[in-house]
Amino acid sequence: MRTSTYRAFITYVAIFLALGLIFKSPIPVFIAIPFLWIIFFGEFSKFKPPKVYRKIEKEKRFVEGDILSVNYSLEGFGYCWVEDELSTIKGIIRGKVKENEKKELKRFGFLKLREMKITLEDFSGMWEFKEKKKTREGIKVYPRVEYVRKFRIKPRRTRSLLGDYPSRRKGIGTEFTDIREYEVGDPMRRINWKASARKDILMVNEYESERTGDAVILLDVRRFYKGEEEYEILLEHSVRAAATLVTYLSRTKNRVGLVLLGETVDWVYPAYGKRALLLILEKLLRTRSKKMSRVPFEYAKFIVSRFFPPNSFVIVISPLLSWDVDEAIVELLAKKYDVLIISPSIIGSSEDLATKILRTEREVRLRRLRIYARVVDWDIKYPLTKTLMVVK
Amino acid sequence: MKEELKYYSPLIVYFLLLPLLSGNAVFITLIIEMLAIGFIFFYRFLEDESLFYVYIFFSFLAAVPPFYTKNIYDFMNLALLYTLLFFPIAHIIIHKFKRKYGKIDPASILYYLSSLPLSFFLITLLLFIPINMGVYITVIIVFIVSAILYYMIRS
Repeated sequence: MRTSTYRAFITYVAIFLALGLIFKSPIPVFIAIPFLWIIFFGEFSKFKPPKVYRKIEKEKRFVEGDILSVNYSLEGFGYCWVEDELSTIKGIIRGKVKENEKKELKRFGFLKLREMKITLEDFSGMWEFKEKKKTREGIKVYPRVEYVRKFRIKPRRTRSLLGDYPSRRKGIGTEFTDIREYEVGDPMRRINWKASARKDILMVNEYESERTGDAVILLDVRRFYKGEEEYEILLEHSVRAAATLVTYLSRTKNRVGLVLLGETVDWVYPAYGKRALLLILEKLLRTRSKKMSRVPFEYAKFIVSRFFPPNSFVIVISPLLSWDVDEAIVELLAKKYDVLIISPSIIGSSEDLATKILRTEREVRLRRLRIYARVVDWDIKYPLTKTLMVVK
Repeated sequence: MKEELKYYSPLIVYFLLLPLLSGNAVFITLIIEMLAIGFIFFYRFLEDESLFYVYIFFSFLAAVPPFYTKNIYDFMNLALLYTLLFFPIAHIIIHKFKRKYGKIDPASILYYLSSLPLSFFLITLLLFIPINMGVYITVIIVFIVSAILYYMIRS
């Protein structure tokens, strides 16, 4: 394809020749000659469509802050400009060139790579090749998870399956609770020989049965702000907190589910293991919304009470900015769900009237909820794990 | 200031020439330069490529009035004309390649800047040298020069 420079030069030549004829002067004609030379050079300069390939480590799971390495392979002759969602490469290529670009993945989410704009222009600037190459690639950038060895938070009620939490029942476990008389069928290795020698009858040790629990993360990341920055702060901290809790609960052999309240309501049924964990993390990647949310908290309450087993441990992560949150939580408590509320404080310390009202409303909500449930007022300046260390 | 100079560089030389001019040439050159400055102003706001070519055109056009009353067939005048054209052409190279692609290839500089001496040579060859050798010899010379240039470009 001809460039705009070529078209401009042809126009210059035409205008200068016309001016020469009109004014009967050779000067405009002499000015036109250099353009003809450049066009002449352009006719014979090397030019053919380029070949551009991009290679990304797709199999790797990226976490916020990781460095992504992208290899571009370019083949052509001239000035090259390649632009995609990851980087822009510009410069001169002569034959085959390999470029390695490194990009820091600052935000979690699903990075869609849909288009690659390629421009190649020959050295005379007379020919160009432009293409928009459609691609269907994507990179999953998972939220950063804070590592925690042990939290004090745990489901109050347990299920029948073996897990990590001591239950009220006696059975197979590691925590010693009691000694009783031997009964037929008790395993021999449970016999407490010292106690048996003292009492002169066979005595056996009893242990706390360790069981699993059901946990549901109710993540409220509805967009109330028009400002991108405020919303991003809320999203970043809430999603990281959810990812940390999901990872911890899944590691401690709980059945974990998720209810996501963003632009719409979405959920993942409680499940065990790594597959469930990845499924939830995958959902968390796509929480970022561009529209203001009009979904009431009531929907999330309905999903929890309809699809998740009663007595589940519900961890609500919400900035408590909407008026309908406390009513819904009180209803969940009434339905015998064990609720823990983690509220990231993102309002800020500004002293304008709107901020003051918002802060007061949130404090009132927190006070009311503290009567019924465990509430963590999380100052986002500090890591969540440090805050949760003191929660019982 | 450096950024300003980048835009106005093709016009500065004409401003320097103004005291040497006389009569209507001064006014016509000034009008053309003002038009070019106007288009530069718009270009800097709108960033539209066509405006770039418009102001470049005016900076080429500004070279016409100073030589209008002079004998352009004089070697010195012709050489001076092409020296003046060096500035807008250099401006095209820098603006087009350096700004967009970050680098300028020596081949581009060769293509653009060699067009001026080649034009000078061509005009001298065709118009000023008394054609004692005959038209056919001149045509052969032009043909040989074109062939040399062709191989230079292809390599």
